[in-house]
Amino acid sequence: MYEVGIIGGGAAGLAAALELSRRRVSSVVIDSDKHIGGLSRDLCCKANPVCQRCDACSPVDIRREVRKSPFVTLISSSDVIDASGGPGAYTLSLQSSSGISEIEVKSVIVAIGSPTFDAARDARYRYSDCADVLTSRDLETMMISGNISVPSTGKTPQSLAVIQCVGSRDAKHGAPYCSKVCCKYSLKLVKRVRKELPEIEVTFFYRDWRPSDREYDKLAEYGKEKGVHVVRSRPAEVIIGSRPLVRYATVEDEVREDPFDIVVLAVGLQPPQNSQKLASSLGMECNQYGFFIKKGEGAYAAGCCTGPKDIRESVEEGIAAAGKAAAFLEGLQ
Amino acid sequence: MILIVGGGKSSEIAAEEVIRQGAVPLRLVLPEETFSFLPDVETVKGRLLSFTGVQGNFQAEIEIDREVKKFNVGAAVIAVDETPKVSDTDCITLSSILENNYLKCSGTIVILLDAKKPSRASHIVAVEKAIEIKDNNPDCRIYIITPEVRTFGLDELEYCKAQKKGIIFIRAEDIKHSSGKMKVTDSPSGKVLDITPDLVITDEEQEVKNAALWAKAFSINLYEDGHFRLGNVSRGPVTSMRNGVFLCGTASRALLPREMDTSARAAATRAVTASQTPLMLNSAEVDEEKCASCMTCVRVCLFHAPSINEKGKSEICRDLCQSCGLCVNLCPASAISFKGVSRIELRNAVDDVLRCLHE
Ligand code: SF4
Ligand code: SF4
Ligand code: SF4
Ligand code: SF4
Repeated sequence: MYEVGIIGGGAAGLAAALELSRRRVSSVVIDSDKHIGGLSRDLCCKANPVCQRCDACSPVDIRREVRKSPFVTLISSSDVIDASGGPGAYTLSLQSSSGISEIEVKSVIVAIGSPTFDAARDARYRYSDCADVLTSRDLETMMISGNISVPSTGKTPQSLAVIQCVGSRDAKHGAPYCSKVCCKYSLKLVKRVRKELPEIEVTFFYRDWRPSDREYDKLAEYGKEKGVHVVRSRPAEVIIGSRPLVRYATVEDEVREDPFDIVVLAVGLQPPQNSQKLASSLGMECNQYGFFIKKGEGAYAAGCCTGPKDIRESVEEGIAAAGKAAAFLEGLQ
Repeated sequence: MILIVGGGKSSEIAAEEVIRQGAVPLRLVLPEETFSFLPDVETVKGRLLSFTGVQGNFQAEIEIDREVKKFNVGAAVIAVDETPKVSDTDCITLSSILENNYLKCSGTIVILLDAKKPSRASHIVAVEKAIEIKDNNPDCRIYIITPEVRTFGLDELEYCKAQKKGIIFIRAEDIKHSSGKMKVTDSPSGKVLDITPDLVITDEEQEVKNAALWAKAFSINLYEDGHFRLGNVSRGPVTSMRNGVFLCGTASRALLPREMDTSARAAATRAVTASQTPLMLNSAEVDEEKCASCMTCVRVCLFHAPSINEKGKSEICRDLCQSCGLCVNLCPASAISFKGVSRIELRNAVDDVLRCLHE
């Protein structure tokens, strides 16, 4: 029997577990992935060389602390397939390769995160049939491996285009909202890439500049640097050629097709899958997109599963949920 | 007891959360500051003269009505929110239309959002207000003029709704406004528009009032732009560089109302945890039998922890010692040690570190 069951071992879930362990409250973190850590695990450090406060290292620090804590049990490769009970006594059914098991907890924190948009669903950008079209996450992974190269040729890229708002602000693909984080992450990532490859020409296609810190003039400022182009336009499509061509309308209303070595799609955050079912079995609610609504006693939600947010805010929400759960447990005694 | 500084929204949420978690908040505002009344929260008007001690055991000296009172505090939350700067122009501002009812306005209305340091919520406030005005009076023309439309997250849906209702958004950097006429250059198309507004509403610059005063009292730092400096990323969010002193709300960065709520609750949670877990620093101790009163430790300690006591021997003040180990290694009589750590162990640990550095 654990005091708190935390579903999801990403930034928010781990932060909740750490805060609870500081109060000597036992918790169990259940993650469906083989590795605990969530989405932020494959984000690279964006220091160039000073820390840019991208927060990618913060879940790593938290995970290290959590692993050392005697109050936290980590269960990976397991899905929570069902939940029952109510505040004070929940039963979570877990499925793993070794079968189905049950866990009893007094309180639940849902921190299942949110998947990124599957870029292949927006066929205009040719993610599935052009090797040189990458998602922002692919580029992060490439950055971690330390080898940025054009996938089709293996050469060092000379030019790079970033297309913002892919799978966000897009009612056709079920995500009419803004993902709130991609403006911030993309700029920091581009700066990091240019630190590594100072010669590379970068073109940033964006609709509105929405940083999550108050860096309102940062994009315009960066656009003045040599080798950086900032274009306010939503490209219509990517055309496959010897190099991918980005087709977009310019300020002068003419249509241009510019070739790039690599085209990066800044993918947005999607609502968590099957959230409705999990929510109703725990007596919680979701909004029309499937993001959890934060309210009620006993079961709490934190992190991206309550709406798109950056790592920092997810960690804050995880800590706040831990505080609520701890207060709820005190009330039980 | 948790000390909460500030009289705005964040302080209210933090105080509520502290109570929920079974601790006692004490809210402190400056004598000249206005604040909202909270029935369950003790709020004092005063000045913080000093804040000493460590996490779990701070001492706050507060001057209240010319009298100095001492409080024992477990942790502190700085919840000093941004407030609009008082401007000298007589323009109608976003916050004033929230307070007064401007629903009856008609004709051409321009909402101009181009302040350098606006509130992060200014765009969604403007969009919601514009929809309200338009619903009330469908004949009026409403323009929202701004360099970028910043409706973050789900607020984007309100922006789409406003567009459908016929509210016109113009993205412009170049705005000329004189004697009742406006010349605006639409940045995506480069077209110049002439607008003759009947009413112009602007957004306001924000500032954290008295930040320098509080920062000094708590011995923490500010950013150049006047916000409180956050702790390094590795210290976690809502931290400052001082253990046991937390930051929330717009004290350190611009936030949306929902984000403010989260950060205030997170800061309250961390403060309650911190007040329950006093920071255990293992201070260095002197073996008086061995001490030769050579004063080496007194001279080398950067924190003025060792001093010679009435017996003529060195004594280390536990509160001041930061466990740096300098005196332990330099004492010629080997009289200083950390409890439970022998000199040999310490030397071995240092050797290990040095070996790692060389490899
Ligand atoms: S916050 Fe980001 S840039 Fe800073 S050290 Fe961590 S990972 Fe690197
Ligand atoms: S944060 Fe920026 S890139 Fe992401 S959806 Fe919003 S506007 Fe688009
Ligand atoms: S350095 Fe050692 S011997 Fe000298 S005063 Fe300090 S404790 Fe005593
Ligand atoms: S261990 Fe360091 S801080 Fe403590 S008394 Fe010695 S020199 Fe001073």
